Amino acid sequence: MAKCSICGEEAVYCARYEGRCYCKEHFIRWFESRLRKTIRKFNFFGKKEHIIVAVSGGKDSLAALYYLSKLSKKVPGWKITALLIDEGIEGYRNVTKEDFMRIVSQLGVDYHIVELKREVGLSLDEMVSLSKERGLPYRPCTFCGVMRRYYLNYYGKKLGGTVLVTAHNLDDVVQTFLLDIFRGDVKKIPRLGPVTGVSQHEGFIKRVKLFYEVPEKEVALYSILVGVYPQTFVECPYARLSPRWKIREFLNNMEEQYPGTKYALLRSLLSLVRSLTSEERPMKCVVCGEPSSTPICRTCQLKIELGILEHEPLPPPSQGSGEHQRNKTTSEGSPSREG
Amino acid sequence: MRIRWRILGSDWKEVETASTTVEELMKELSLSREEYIASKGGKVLTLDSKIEDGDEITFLPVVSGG
Repeated sequence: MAKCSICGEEAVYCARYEGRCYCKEHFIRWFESRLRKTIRKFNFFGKKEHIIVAVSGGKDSLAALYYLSKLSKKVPGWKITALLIDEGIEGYRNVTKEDFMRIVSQLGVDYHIVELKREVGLSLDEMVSLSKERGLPYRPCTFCGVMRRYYLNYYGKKLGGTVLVTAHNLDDVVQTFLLDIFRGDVKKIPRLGPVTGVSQHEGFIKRVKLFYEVPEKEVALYSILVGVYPQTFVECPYARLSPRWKIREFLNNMEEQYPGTKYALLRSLLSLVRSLTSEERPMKCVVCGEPSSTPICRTCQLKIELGILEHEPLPPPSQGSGEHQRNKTTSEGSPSREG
Repeated sequence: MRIRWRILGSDWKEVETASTTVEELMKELSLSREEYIASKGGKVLTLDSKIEDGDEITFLPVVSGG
């Protein structure tokens, strides 16, 4: 039985990539001290912030909410609000929403729920059906990822937030990094930095990835040990349709055989993010006015293609100008998880 | 020896095993160490934790459902 490298008590976790083991108490301390270092290193927060935490009811976002709620008790200038986007996926989001409600109530934090059905007129399940009927080439994750990002930004600002926290962890980030490379979508790599948003366009709220330097397994263990791990495990019915699922399996196999693989990828990513200048020049969507890298944002474009939003066609793009091209259709949205 | 195991959210199963540790059992059951955390009676186990006849082990998924 492994013993804690600090106190000699029974261990709950051994970090193979650093050759140390931790008991429950020292794991929690070690985990939280690393989060504090990440927060300082990447300058996530100032002394006065309204922190909007994107929460899905999954273990990552509940762990993020728990930790920030705990930390906020030591920072008088912080206000925390949990924001949940309910896409309308029957048998999934209605279940994780129960865990969300249980934890926000336990922690006593303010919360806000945005329903896609109410915002868009259709639930995600209905969008997927309509998309099939109209012969559109999109997977469910495209609608979910694009619209979730849109409404997190929109409501993050509307609620008066100064920073939006997502619970993206090390695994999420390096999976997306590989997905971008496999798709030849190198221009999206700067979006994978620890902080994005406000520096790109005034219409974006600053976004930070709280678990940027923490493997998913450690976030899961933390959520178990502090009592926020979801009581019921349900899987999104669309999750296995995404190429991300294959990349996740591949990376986990690599990590098992070669511990430290994910951290090595993160180091490569950070070097690239520093050296790559974002070619994206956000503008305002001509339909809704929200920031967009193309004249019509992806959310409005999807609504138009679904036939639930009418808009005059735009003039053809000028030759050679990437910025004015209509959005190209891809088969999946990029990192869509908020936890 | 015989043990009972399940993945949280699924039914219990029984297996006759020669595995003596959690790590060996996970290998036998083709469960990735990166994707599951083992627990017994609500207590988290490490990979080198010993397993005994009659144990009931729950594997908690690391991967989020969406």
